[in-house]
Amino acid sequence: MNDPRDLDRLLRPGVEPLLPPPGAFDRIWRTASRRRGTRAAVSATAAALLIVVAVAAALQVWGGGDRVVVEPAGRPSATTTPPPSATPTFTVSPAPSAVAPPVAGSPPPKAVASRCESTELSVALGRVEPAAGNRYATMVFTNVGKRVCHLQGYPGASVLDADMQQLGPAATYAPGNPHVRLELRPGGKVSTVLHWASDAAGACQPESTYLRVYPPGETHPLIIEATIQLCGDILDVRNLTVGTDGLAG
Amino acid sequence: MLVPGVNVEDGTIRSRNRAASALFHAEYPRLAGWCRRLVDDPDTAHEIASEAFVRLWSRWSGVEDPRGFLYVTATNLVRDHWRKAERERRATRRSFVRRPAADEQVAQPDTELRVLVRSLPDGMRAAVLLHYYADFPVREVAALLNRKEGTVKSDLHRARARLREELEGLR
Repeated sequence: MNDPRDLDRLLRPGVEPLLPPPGAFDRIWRTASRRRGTRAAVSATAAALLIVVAVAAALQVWGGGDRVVVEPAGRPSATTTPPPSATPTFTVSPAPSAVAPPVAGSPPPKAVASRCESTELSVALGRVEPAAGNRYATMVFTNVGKRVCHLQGYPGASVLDADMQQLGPAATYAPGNPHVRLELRPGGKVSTVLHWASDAAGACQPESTYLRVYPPGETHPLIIEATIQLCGDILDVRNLTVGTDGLAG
Repeated sequence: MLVPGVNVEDGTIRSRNRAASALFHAEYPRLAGWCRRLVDDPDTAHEIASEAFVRLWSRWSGVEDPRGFLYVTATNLVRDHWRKAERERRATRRSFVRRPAADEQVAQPDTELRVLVRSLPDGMRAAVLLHYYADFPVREVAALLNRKEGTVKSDLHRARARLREELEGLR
């Protein structure tokens, strides 16, 4: 080791490439999208909190909160498109698991509604809007339970074949709607936009038979019939917002 | 806030995905291979390389030099891995009070040097890993580590002197 060139040689070990395991790219890309979504949600919540604190401090008002109450009539802030039920492309039925809600007593005593559970919700997909290679459809959740509950964030979504096997990746988070707490009275509706690519670079999956939806925070899925063909493994969904057009006004 | 506006214009997502895929296929094998030289098993190398890509793509803001970002991130992850391994090794040694077996003593010069590189101070080590192991020119190493070129040069020089001394001490 007296020859300094030895050190040079040792310090520059030839790198033998290590090929990625199969599916690595998709997995990494999805994880990154999810993490991006979580961070956006966290920063949106932090921003909302700051605003609430600032307003409360300025007005010395307690109990001000960043929440939106959705009435049964569902008064969306921007109703520019008809509700998706007007021209439904998809047959909507409650998932087998979404049977009669086990209403556990009366609503909580205070005005703090707990999260809506899958059994208290129905979901419907609106008409598919094509846009050169992309497809958009509104996804509307209705509180079919008997109490006020809340939803916040974006739902999970994945497409399934006739045997309930998943086709392609689960939906990732898409930016565009704020992360706010939405309170749903019985009959109230909130919505989001589901987006997928129809002929993006990359292979296409076979057409789906069902769409599996997890309301935010829920582990029990709602399953509805839906014909969706994913291409290039692109499927994403935004935060829920008031109204039925899926877009924050 | 960094949340960008509605970004659904046709093609945007596709081209972003395509660029990401191209970067991945060009850089992953070498990055993972580089990690493999620094850690003990291929699984850990894959883990570190994957995590570096996840961190790159989970950022909202663009990264000017994605390749540099990947290697700097991997350098930090490798350091964390070493620290964790060292803690575990100490804990094991404490609980079993045993002498390291003969085959645990570093046998390959490559491994030997790696152990020494591990012991370098953070700044010197990052410069060594990026310049010698990953072949970044000094100028780029300086930009990546946000240091002056002169500082990086002197770090590399001192690191080499130190490594040579220690290697000779081992003989």
